[in-house]
This record gives sequence, structure tokens and C-alpha cells, in this order.
Amino acid sequence: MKELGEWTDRDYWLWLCSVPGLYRAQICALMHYFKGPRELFEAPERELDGFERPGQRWVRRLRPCRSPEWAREARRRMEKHQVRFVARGESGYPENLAQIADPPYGLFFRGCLPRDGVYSAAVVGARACTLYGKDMARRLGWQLGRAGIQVISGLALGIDGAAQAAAVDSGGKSYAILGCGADICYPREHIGLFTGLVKEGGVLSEFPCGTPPLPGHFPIRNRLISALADAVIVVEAREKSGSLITAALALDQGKEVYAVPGRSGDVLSGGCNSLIAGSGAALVLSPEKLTEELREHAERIGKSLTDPGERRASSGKEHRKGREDLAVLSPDEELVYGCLDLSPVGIDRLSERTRIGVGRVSAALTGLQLKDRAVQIGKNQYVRQ
Amino acid sequence: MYSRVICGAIYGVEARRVSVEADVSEGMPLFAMVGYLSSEVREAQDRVRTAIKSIGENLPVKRITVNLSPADLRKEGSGFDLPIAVAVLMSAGALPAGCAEGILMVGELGLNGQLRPVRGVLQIAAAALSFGCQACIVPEENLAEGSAISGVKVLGAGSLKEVTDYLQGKGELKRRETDIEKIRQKQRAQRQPDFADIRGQSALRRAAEIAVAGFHNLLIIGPPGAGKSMTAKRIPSILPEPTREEILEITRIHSVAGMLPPEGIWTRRPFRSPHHSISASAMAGGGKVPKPGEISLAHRGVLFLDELPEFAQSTLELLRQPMEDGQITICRVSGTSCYPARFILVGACNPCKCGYWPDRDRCRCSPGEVRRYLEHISQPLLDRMDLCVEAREPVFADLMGEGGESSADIRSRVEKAAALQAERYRGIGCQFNGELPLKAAERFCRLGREEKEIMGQIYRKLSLTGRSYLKILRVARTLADLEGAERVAAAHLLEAASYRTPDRSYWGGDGG
Repeated sequence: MKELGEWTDRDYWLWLCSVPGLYRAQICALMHYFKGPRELFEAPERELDGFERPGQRWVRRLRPCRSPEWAREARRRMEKHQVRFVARGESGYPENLAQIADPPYGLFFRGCLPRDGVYSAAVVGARACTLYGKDMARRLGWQLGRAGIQVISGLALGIDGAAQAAAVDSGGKSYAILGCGADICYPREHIGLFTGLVKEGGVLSEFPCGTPPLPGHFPIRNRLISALADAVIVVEAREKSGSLITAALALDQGKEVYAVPGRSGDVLSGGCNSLIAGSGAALVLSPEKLTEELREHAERIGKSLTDPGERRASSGKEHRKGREDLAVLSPDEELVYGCLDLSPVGIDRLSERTRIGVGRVSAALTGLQLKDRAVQIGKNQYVRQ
Repeated sequence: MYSRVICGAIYGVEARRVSVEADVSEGMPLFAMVGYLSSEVREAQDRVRTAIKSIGENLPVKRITVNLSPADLRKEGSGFDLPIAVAVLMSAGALPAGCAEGILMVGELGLNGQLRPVRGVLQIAAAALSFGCQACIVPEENLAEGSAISGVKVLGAGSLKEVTDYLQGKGELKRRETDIEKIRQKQRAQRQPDFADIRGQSALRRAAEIAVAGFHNLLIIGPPGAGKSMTAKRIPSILPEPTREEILEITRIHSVAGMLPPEGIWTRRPFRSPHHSISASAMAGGGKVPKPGEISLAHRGVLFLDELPEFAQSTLELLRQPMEDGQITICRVSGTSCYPARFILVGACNPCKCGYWPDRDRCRCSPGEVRRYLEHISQPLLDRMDLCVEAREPVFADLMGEGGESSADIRSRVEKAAALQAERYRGIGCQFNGELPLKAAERFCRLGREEKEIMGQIYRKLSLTGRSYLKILRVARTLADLEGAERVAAAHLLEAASYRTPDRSYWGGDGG
């Protein structure tokens, strides 16, 4: 740990970005007055008085943080969680971020940062997604990862997580931007993916260690997702959803925006469909076609894809599409399988469609599950696989 | 002069012998009662005094002492009035000494000497022989239940006068033959909701039939208005007929709870559906003097819990142990009672707070919200549900369509399956597939090579636990019994596996 006298500009930035509850707008206001973090650190107490506003507590919380002991404590916490820091203007700070209107002053991260010369694509979508959305996200993540495109997303449940997990499984790189400190895995369910990303990509956050995932943080991080990516792909989004905000930001930042279409009338795909209809998003025909288009886009903007030689061999989890070794189905199973589709169907409905008894349908469904041809997604709600 | 009358008192669901002793001796006029009495027993002296006067006898102006023994047993209830009156009359010389020998008496007295009904007569009458009594005198209203006991002469009296006349050999008391079959037919004729009213819902019907045929616990999940409660209310109409022993067990509990129908015998399997605001002690049984709770009242029948997640967590958790043991032991200051509680638990719940999950067009619950909603039902309780089925909302075509099979048709199949099970499990202490312990389940659901292979696949693929393996075996056995099949076949196992309870990973989890 460096003594105060040896602190460089970067150390002062690290200190400022570590102060909890201090958002970009506030740092911006402070920097306007103090010129730099060092001046703020060394300023006499009364100079801060001018920033006190009734109802705002951030100045009061900033005051005790202006001590070398506090800074040392913050660093210790980062070291404990292996969180690293990069300040704006420092080498390694992502170029894509530097180009937006409101870049963060610093980034905390675990693992690595996205590589500047390599093409990145964000896959975003609803947390509460349908199986169709999840399947698309998986296929997209898989294809992008295989093609050597860095997959950026938010580690959320549903689309985000599915795409990132598939990208990691395919042997590609993936980066998550969090709405909490980089030492916190939110949502908890994704702890496995979180550790996978630390190894095969990175987990990034604008917020210092220990910041809880407050609702207000997610719109802030959404701008980073669109900023880091060269293209944004929306998989399933309702009208008025966080994913649409990300897409709108991406359009503002001049990124390519793609949307996976849904059936008209599906509430969950409403946002995607209206993006395609009116807001300049391109339609995703298939993950393979999309990868081709992105490849061309990468060439146009002069970015490379990760070299296949550099890539890990994909992990054992083979993507299930295109697998040939399917077991033979019994006549009942054949009949029931024919009546399954990608939206959940109940046993009653299947029994009506196939005109065989409920008991036989139930047995056939279990058989199909054993043969990996159907999934039960809710109680007695099945989809084909 | 000393005299004694035998009486019975209810502790839990058992009758205990209480002897009422009376003595009239010289001394200050006094009516003293001893023997660890509760206040309603203590009050008996005023009822007894007035009732004795009403039949034209006068109590001697002497010291009257009444003792209820054993003295360390707390005496509760109003059934001691009649034996106290008779004992006092004998001591006073108004009745010949020894006239009540071998006769057990129970009943509450009115001021006019009228005999009023009491709770638990069935048990008391059943225990009379072991108390050394060949005859019982019970209130008229309780005669029907008392007469269900064979081997004991059960007599019904309407008033204290009738009893004294009988004891003096001046009159006869009423007797009655309780014909369980007749009462059964009469009660069966009462109209109840029928399965024919339900349109569509074939999966739910099937699950209800299996649950009833093998006494399996059933969980119904579905959106509001899908017909979960409607189906559950029709389950009593397809329950197999209780055997004679079961009828007595059911009647005994209802007799203790004072809930018998006018015929005196409960020949139908009970169906209890407590509201979700029920307290833990009302569910399990309890009170200062323990009384049977809903789970015991549902013994040999159905306990239906609508809106399962709305029940207090503690109330649901206490179901676990009785579901395993088939009985519940309640300890209170006044003593420990053990009540039987072997029931089919039928639970109904919505899949999430709004009720429409996984219909993403209507449900906006986040996965976390769905999970939190369902966390009200703990995993151990879910583990005890043998069957889980989804009720879906009826579509218009269902509503316009024909009603389904009638309850009578379904019941005939259920009866056949129940008969097969009764035959198979004779002498091993259980009656239905749903009650089979693991050892017995493996013995009676022997799997062939092909079936074993399928079971292995199911076990690995669906990541079962030991408990769910047992559940699938039991349910498969019931499916085979419904078909009249000797052996459990692969198709039965596959179907049984489809009814297993969902685990957290995809139910409210991240959705696979």
C-alpha cells in the first residue's frame, strides 16, 4: 500500500470513485469546482459547505472519507475481492466508453476488460422471459461466442444470463456490467455464471465495492452496456422496459441495433416488434445470419474478431441444436410430440389434441422428457425441445 | 352409607374409568364434592340436588360426600351428573343398594330431571366391558351412537325418573339396534356435488381419481377460477366407502368433538376444509383440555386446504409429522392426548401472486416473486404431496361441452382399486398405497427388468430424491390397481412420474 505522499493522480481517482453514494453527476459538479480529485481530497472542510443542499446527504457522507485511513480500507476491500480499477484516460480504459457523452470516471472490474480492437455485441432482454426468448438468447450467445465476438450483457436473470452462459460455454468471451459493486453477485442465482465470467471475460461496474443493487443503478449501467457494445441485440422486451431504454441509448450512441421478432400480440415481444417497425432496429433472421452481418459490420468499422486460435475449446456442454442421435419414440410419444410447440401446453390440451387419455399423455410426456424431446417448465406445462 | 356407580370420562379419544362414590353420614348438612374437579363438574351438585327434588325424592339433611376417583385425574365435562345423582340416591336409601352394579352411567341432568346428551358416548360404551360393566345407561340422544357397539347392553333414558324406575325394576329403558348399513344408505342418499358438473379438466379429474383410489396427497395448482375448489368439493363423492372399523374410528372422533349427525353414526368419510385463517391449535387439535383439530376430524377422509400459501407457515409445518405418523400427540397442562390423523391432504394454490404464471402475456411476476410466493409452502411439505396437477382455465368450448363422467362411475373404479388394496395389505397395518412404507412399497411394487431400467432413467433424468422415488412407486401401484393390473408396468411409472411435485429449479426458479 502506497503512503499518501506517493499517491499519483490515479490513486486520487480511485479514492474518489470508491466513495459510496457518489454518482457521476456529483463527481462532475465537484470536479467543476475543485479541478481534480487531489484538490478535493486536500481541500479544507469549509470548502465543501457550498455543496450542502437540504435533503442531500452525499456531502455529509463524503467528509469522513477524506482520510488516508479510509482510502486504505477501501483498497483493502478491493484487494480482498480481487477487484481492479481503471481510471478514465488511463491506458486500458475501454475506447468505446470514452466516446460517449457521459463516460464513467473510473471502472471497477474483476477478470478482464473488453478488448478494444475486438468487436463486441450486447444481448439484452427481459428477466421474466419465455422459453422461446431464452432459447434464442442461448443460440445467439453460442453463435456470437463461437464467432469470436465479445458478448456484453447485464448478468440479469432470463435473457442476459442465458446469452452470457451460452457464450462462455461456446468458448467465447463475455462481459457483464453490474448495477452493484463488482464484488457482489446479483442476482445470487447466477453465482456460477459470475465466477465463469471472471475467468472467461469480466465483470465490470461503475460502482465501488459493496454498493448494493439499488433499482436506480440499473438505468445508469444500461448506458454502459450499449456504450461498450458495437451492436445491441434485443431478444425479448416489453414496451417500456429497461431493454428498450438500452436499445434507445444504443441508437443515440450510433450503434447497430437488432431485435429478435416475436409473434404479434405477444406482450413480451411487443418492444422488439415496435423497435423493428419504427425505430430503426434490424430484424434478426437467425443467429447464424446475424453473426454474418456482424462480421461484415466489424470489418467496416475496422474491428477484428477474437482469433479462433486464441479461443478455448468449447466446454463439454454441447449446444443441443442439430444433434442427430435421437432415441426412437413410441407411437404415443410420437403423437404427443407432434402436438407440442414452443409455448407451454398443458396435459388437458394435449389430451384433446391427440385424442388419447390423460394417463397415456402423461406417460408419453415423461417418456419424451427422458429422451430430451420435451421440457416441463411449470407444473404440467410442457414445451418441445 | 357408602355407594358406588361406574362412569366413564374422555381423555383424548380414549375413555377412562371413573368411579363415583357417595356417602351420606351424620354431621352438619353439607354437599361436598372432591376428586380434582373442574368447575362444570363442581356445579353438578346444584343440578343433581334440584333434579333429585324434581322426581319427588328429598335429600336427607345430612352430610353428603361425593368422591370421583381416581383422584389424580382431572374430571371435566357434564357427563358425571347422572352417576352422581344415582350414587347419592343409593346412599340416601332411595334406591336399593347395589342396584347399579355392573351398569355404566353417563349423562347430564337438567333441573327438571331431564337427561341431556354428552360427548364421547361411543368410546365410553366401547370401553364399558373393560370397566367391568355389561350395560350402559346413556342419554336418549346418544343412544344411536352407543348402540353401534356390540357386546354391551346400551340403554337410553330420557330422564332421571326413567333411570330410577329401571334400577328399581319398575320400568324398562329404550334399546335400539343401530344398523350401520341402513344409516349408510340414508346418508348416501343425501345429495352432494357431483363430478358430472365439471366440464373439461381431464387431467385434474384423473389426478383426483388416483388420489382418492390410493389415498395420495394431492396438490392442485392453477389460475383463479380454473375450478380447483370446485373439483376438491366433489372429491367426497368419489371416496371409497369406509369399512366398519373405519366408520367407528370416524364416529369416535366426531363423538369426542360433539359433532355427530342425528343418526348417531358417521358413515361417510369426512371432508374438512378449514379457512386459511385457522390457528395452529385449531388445525392440530388443542385447547386447555385437548380437543381434536381439523386434521383429526378429517381422519380417514379429506383435508382440503384452499389457497395453501395463505395459511400461516407454522400451521402448515405442523401437518408434516401427522402426515408421516398418521396421528398427532398433543401435550397440554391437563394431560397428553393422542388423536388419529390419517387423511388425504388436498391443497390448492395459484402458481404465483397474480395467478397466471407461466402465461407471460398476463403475468408480470418476476421469477423472484414467483419463488417467494411459493416459498410459503416449504419443501418438506411439498415432498409429502404424492401428486401434483395443474388446473387450467376452461376455454369456451369446455363450458359449452358435455359434463364429464359422473361421480358414481368414477367411484365404482375407485372401489375396485380400494378392494384390491385392502386384500393385498391385509394384516400389514396399512390400507392404501399412499400409506405404504418404503419396505412394503418395494415388496408390493416389484419392478421387472425393463421397469427398473425406466425407473433408473427417470431417477437420473429428473433428479429424484429417495422420497420422490417412493412416491412414484406408490402412485404407480395405484395406477396399476385402477387398471386391475397385477404388476406395475413401465407406463404406470412414466405416468406416475409426471405427477411428481415440481422442484424449485423450474418452479419459480430460473426456468431451466
